[in-house]
Amino acid sequence: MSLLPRTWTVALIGNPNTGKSTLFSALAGIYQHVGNYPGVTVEKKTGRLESDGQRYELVDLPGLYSLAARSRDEMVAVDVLVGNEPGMAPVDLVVCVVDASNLQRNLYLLSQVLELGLPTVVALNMLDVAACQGIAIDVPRLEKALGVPVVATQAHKRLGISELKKALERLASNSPAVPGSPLPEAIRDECRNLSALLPAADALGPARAAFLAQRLLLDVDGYLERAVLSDSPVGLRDALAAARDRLGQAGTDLRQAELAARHEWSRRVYTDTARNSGPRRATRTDKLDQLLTHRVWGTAILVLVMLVVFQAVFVWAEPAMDLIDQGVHWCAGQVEARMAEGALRSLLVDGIIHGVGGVFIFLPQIAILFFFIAILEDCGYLARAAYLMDKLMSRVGLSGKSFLPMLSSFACAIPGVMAARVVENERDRLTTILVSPLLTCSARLPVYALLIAAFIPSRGYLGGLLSLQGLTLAGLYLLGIVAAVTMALLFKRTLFRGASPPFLLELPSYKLPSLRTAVYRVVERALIFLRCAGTLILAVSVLVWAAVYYPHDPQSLAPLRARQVVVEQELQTVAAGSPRQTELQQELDHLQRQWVEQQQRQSILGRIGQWIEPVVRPLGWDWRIGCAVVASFPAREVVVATLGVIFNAGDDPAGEGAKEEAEARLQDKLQQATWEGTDRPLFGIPVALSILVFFALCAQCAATLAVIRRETNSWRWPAFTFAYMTGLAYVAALVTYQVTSWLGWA
Amino acid sequence: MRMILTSRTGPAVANTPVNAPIPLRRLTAGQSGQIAHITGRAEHVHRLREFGLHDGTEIEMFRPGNPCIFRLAGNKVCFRADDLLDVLVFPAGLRC
Repeated sequence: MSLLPRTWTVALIGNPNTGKSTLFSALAGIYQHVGNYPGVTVEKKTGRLESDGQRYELVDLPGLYSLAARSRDEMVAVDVLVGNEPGMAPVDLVVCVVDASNLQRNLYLLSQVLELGLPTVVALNMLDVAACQGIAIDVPRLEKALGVPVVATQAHKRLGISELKKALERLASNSPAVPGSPLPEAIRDECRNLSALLPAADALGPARAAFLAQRLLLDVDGYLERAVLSDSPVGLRDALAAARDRLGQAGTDLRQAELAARHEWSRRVYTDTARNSGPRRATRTDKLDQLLTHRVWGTAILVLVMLVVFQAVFVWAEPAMDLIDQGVHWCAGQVEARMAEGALRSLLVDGIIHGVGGVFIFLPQIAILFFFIAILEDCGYLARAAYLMDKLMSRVGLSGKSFLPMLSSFACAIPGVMAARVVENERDRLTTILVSPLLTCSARLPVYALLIAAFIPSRGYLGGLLSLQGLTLAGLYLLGIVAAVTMALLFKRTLFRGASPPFLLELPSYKLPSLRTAVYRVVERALIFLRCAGTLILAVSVLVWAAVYYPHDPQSLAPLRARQVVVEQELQTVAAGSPRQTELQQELDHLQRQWVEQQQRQSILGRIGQWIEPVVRPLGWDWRIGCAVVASFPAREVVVATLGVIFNAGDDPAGEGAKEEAEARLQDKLQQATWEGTDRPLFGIPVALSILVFFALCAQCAATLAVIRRETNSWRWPAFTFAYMTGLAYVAALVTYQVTSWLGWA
Repeated sequence: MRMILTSRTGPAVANTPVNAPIPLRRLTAGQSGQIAHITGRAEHVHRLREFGLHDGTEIEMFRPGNPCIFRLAGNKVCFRADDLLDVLVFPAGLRC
């Protein structure tokens, strides 16, 4: 016995919808960490558990039906189980989670897991659901039939958790023998021979080597064949081919042989231990499904549910967002009051506090959206929504599972991209992630509102029922949808071509959602977002701040500054409320704006704006609009403030109705703006439309790109998203401007 | 009631060659059937079998169409067939 307690690595494995993740949360509590496996988009969930002096490192593997690895999820699971996963200790113990109401089907995976030869405990979950369906399972008999310990659990009610912990302790203290394989003798013989030839057979140990050899032999053209054979001696390759030949000549179809052997084993164990008490009665789930999966009523309810969710996202998030906004301003004010003016203060206030604060403000929306997604998923409704929407989504080449992520993107693309994890198929998941940012998120609304109110005539049709401004807004939403659908179709036919795996989705029984699970999920996603905001978004904010601030030449601004000091001094001497005071205040404001404008023109950003003017001219923009658009690449909603600065609309005055007043003033300024040095108005319907279309399609959100990087685990996809969306936006804006100008819309 | 009907007619129907297999989605709501055959690429067929759709497995239609929802051993499963992949079943006749 060593003095230091050793840490046991425990893998949780099971079919999807067995309550495995709930069980994981019940075991690990708050000590869990969500990340990605290196190089792939598969979610890595680990947690810690300490029980009776023993320490366990828990790994929640992706839900799967078989260890015959073909998808990334399955490859990762196999890698973790055989100890091939870099940065992870080899698995010591296995918890196989089995859905009691689906026992026979779940036994298939268990029989593959048992081949690992690792100490295994079966968590027989959802016995209550099985009981509702009239299925009674004799647990001691099952234990005997399987040859490994079985613990009855009800993860969502936290029942059986301490028993499971005790079972883990027993497994750790005396590794019990593991039952034999149901595979035919001939296959087992070949596996034994092959395992001796494996490159790292000694390091793996006999049991793991045997498992690896078995999967290698059985999974024809599978993942392991590619992974192991690519860097192994030729001897193994030949031996594998010879073994398959021998079995083939004996009339054994490997896939069929495994299916048949395990299916027969599952059937025998099931009939031996489970009892069906009479014909099945319609359960509550059945009655609910009659309504909720109905083509008409079900769809109507889905629309209603989504309306409620969106309403809640916008209405509930509002106070929290206001609070964050005030907090950000308060912080900025505090720093401004305590620090002397200079580069550092500007960096802190304009770069860090306003930059990160501007993204942080979306946290309430993200949290509320994830709360609803978690509740809908936990109660079982999400699978029904996927069924209802599958017909629609399959026309775009996606499945119903992509519906929710895409819908979420109408609030904010960040939760949309993160929610794409529910899409198991990798090609579908990437397509969903790539097109989600095209859908109209709430950050686009301020831009739309400003430009539509300023430049689209307020004409009414059908007796005022339809307004041109409203139609324009609807058109922009439609543009986002059409673009997303078109790009999804295009991606599925080019980048992500190939036969989609079968669309097969289990509809779990309805149950009361657990608040605990929902809260965990919200915290988990919020932390991911905050980590993003704290690193990448912070870096981008600082970069943009630097582009606006530098080169900082106090010399050229000195005359303005000198006048400002004079005015400030006089302001302190005049009586409050006198006409002179108002006059001075106005001059001070004016000086302030001039100062900002001059700085902007000489800054890196201003120079970029002037430099790119030839590029944006065909869109009908001058350098100032170009500047505003470039500055809004990190966060599109910034453009309203930038336009305000560039077109001299002045700062927001504080007080009641100030916001509306400032907005009306900015609209006036934009309407009065002319091409520099001429009287020709800068903005018109074509220019406004080209800006609107550009904003509808462009990837102007560093946070979304950062989250795409986080979710896809590579820089390739955010870079691609940025490139294709910007290209698309440019071309669409160009066409819009040229066509509307040609049509003579003024 | 349906279950009783199924258990009585299911095997008999499966053994009758006259009763040709039909695509799963064509079963009517509440109608039962036995999986006869799965057509499609070998790896996809294998996947469905690993999921639990073995030949001879009893299923009962809940929502016909494509995608459809059917019952498999008490639980509901949603499945979409495509040009390549389909599940063929021997319908348990509701004709009797």
